[in-house]
Amino acid sequence: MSRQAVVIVFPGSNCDRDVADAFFVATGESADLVWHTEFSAGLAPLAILPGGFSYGDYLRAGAIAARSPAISALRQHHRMGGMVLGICNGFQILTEAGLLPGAFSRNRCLHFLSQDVCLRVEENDSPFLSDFQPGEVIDLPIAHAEGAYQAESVGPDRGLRVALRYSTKDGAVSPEANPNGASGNVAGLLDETGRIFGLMPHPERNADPIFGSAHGGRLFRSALSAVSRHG
Amino acid sequence: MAEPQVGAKRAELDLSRRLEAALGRAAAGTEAAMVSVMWSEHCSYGHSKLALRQFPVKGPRVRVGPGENAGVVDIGHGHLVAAKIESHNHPSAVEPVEGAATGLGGIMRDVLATGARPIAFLDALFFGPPGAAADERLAQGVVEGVARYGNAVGIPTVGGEVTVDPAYARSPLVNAMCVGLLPEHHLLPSTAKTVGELVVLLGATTGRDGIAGASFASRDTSQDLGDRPQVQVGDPFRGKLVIEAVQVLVERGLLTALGDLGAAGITSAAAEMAQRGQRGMRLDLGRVPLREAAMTPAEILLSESQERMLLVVRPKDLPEVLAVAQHFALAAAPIGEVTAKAQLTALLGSEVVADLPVELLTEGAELFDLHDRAKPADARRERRPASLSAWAERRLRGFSLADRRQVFQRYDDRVGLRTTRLPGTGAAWVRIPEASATLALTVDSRPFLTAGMPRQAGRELVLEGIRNVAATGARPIAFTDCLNFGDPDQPEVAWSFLETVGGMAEAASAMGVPVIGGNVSFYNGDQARPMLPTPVLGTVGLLADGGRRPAPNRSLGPLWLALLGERTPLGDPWALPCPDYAVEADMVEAMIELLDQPWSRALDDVGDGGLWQAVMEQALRLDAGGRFETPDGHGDGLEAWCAEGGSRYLLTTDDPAAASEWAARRGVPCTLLGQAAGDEITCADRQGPLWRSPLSSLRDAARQPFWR
Repeated sequence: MSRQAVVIVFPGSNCDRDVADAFFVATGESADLVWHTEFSAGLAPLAILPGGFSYGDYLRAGAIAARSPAISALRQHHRMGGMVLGICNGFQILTEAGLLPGAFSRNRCLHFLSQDVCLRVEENDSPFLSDFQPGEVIDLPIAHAEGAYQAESVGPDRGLRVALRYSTKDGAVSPEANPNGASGNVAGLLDETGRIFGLMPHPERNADPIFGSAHGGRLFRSALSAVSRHG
Repeated sequence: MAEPQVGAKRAELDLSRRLEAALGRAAAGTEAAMVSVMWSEHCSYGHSKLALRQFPVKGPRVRVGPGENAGVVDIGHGHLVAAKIESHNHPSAVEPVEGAATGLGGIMRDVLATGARPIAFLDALFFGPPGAAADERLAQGVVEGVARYGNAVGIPTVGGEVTVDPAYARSPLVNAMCVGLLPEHHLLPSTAKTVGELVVLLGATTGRDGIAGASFASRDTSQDLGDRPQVQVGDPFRGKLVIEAVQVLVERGLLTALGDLGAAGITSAAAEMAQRGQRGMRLDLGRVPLREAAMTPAEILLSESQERMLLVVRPKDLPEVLAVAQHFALAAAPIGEVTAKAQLTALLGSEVVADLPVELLTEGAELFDLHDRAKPADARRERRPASLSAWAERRLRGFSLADRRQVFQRYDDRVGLRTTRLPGTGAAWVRIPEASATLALTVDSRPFLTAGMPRQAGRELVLEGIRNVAATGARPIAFTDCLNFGDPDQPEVAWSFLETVGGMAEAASAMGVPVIGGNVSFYNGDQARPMLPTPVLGTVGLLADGGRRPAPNRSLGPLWLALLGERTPLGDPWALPCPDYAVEADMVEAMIELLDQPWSRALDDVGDGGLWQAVMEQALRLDAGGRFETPDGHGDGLEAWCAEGGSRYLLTTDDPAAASEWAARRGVPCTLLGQAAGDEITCADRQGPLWRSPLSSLRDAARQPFWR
């Protein structure tokens, strides 16, 4: 089988190896690490932007990486039908690059937060979420300081495709279930094609059952099965 | 690592005379500056070296003991673990964010220098209580610094300790421990052996920051270093690139030796690597990549700019080494070579600016035997409390139950996908699938005990580290220590230091666990308020579990608490019992067996705050009260609940009959305390209740913020 996924490594990325390991544990397929200068469209159907602090998060989280040649290549990758998964800092890079709408501000508490959260799946039309049911609640950990998603409208009618919202374990999308002050409790977002998916929680940290629910593993398997269908 | 005002105080007075005698000529200004910093307490361990020789440092697992960068132990399956703890107290008191951040960076590079990939941080933090703006600024700043560096550099902070007490007001202690993992064949010496090999400086450029932070009390140098800040500035982004670059260099076998640049910068790294190989180095300062113009030779040699490593490479490998550095956008330059004569020679252009015997730098500092000045301090032994209520209420008002998650949640505790037991419940677990094992890691300290009875506290600290990892099913394999004390020239400080080290050494030897490295920080506190003596111990435990052991599941059924083990005080019941090391060792094995039993739901060791503290912590975790009674044979009820020491563990079980039966068969004393249920908690003895409280009071105590 040809290469299914690559993980784009920027200077300061620090979840790159974790994502590759978790992808392999969950799917049995390897996701190769690719240094950002080596990335080009067509390397693999799925390109993953991992978490971390690309370029030290200097200026703003994700701002510098979003202006790198790798992201130009990523736009081409997407135009050619490729899938893009941005996790945490990867999500921040996608909004900074304009590949997903909105922006991030500091967490409401103004400091870094590492904790488990519950998330309600809002739709499953995207290849990333085809194995999930709308309304299903999954749990994944978050670890970020600038994770409060901001957009003019986060409702369903403004073209924003919200994939995941912070919720209680019963699926209630409430202020109490919102760890960072994200507007509309937005935790994960799709572009209009459904082939770009950004999320603040870390699926790679819950892919191996040793860490708990293994819901993150389902996300990787869902993405891979979509790749296989298209490929 | 800065310790202002420290200096090699006595040596300083006759520094130039001693130098002249050693060199047969007057020392140049640059040379005097180098020697002054290398002979500072921070670099030379002049007041502690002799005492530290008591520690057991050998063992079948030990691959590298104290004296190099980090200690290294063998965990089997061809893998090694590096570990070290270090203080960064003085910088953190001045600039808490950068002080704490560079503390993490410094200890990370110690571990990196063994050839390891750093995989975990732990930290022990000591703050003044909230209320005073200065202390809140320090506490918040230190936590922010740990978070800022640790999170960005991609190493999880998996555990630690937070102690709040007025004794640390305005003088916070910041001790950081780093643990690394490496395949056996990656282990690098910090030794320059082969003449003609090149010395390469890798990482950040060299600037004027932190010049001679190790102590620049240099009235005896003509060098004017100006009023530059002595606190360095960390850059986790570049630190992360240094980690990755070093991993590539190590994997490709491009290094023959590796050292980190910390206190005393290039001078210390070069001198120590040369000393270990009985070689010298010739350095061309003109080739050092600088970040500022017109730096003097002394500034270049003593800069403590962060995120730098010193590599020794074969000449033929230089182009590849420089290419790796360039890939990661790091500065790198060959700045010298290894020479046969054991002399550290620095040139600027064709001018020799320093030419010193290596041994003079590394071994020339005077060693002091603290026994010469030690005088026992007045025993500040905690008196018997009036009642359990008075004692418990005092602890509830303090910070002993305050939820540490308010600190830990600011740290990334999971990056690296190794943390299988998160901070907050005893030792953390870091899985090592490469070696089919899991590490149990903890840091502990007992400052209040140490103040009153340092020798007993030293023993107890070692045993507590062991009990902590045993309570998660691990056998201890190594210690790393960080000894935070006041001015060793004060007789009481000298005495408590010696007593503490003596107690720790005795217990570590008796338990057969080596001390593989550490750090001493003197001159904490000030004249008006001497520092509470604060030995901190990092313990590395090993579970041979295949690296696949999940943390115990929560049980929804009814649960009971039981006390395992005994405390058999001799003489004064409020002194610590004399440890029975055979019993301690047997209890470790018993606890490892116990954790495999189906009825075992949770296990904690009984440490600081005695049985009361252990029961309250578990009540909070279970969110359940209950009536818990200690039977006869444990002294009076007060002593049973609050006295410390002894090899004791608190078991949470859903089948008390099976647990008792197992304990009887295994020869472990077992006392069923009661069932966890309801929203009131009662501590009792046979005569009746000694103290009762609604669970909500415990929750309030847990919610107390460390700052507002």
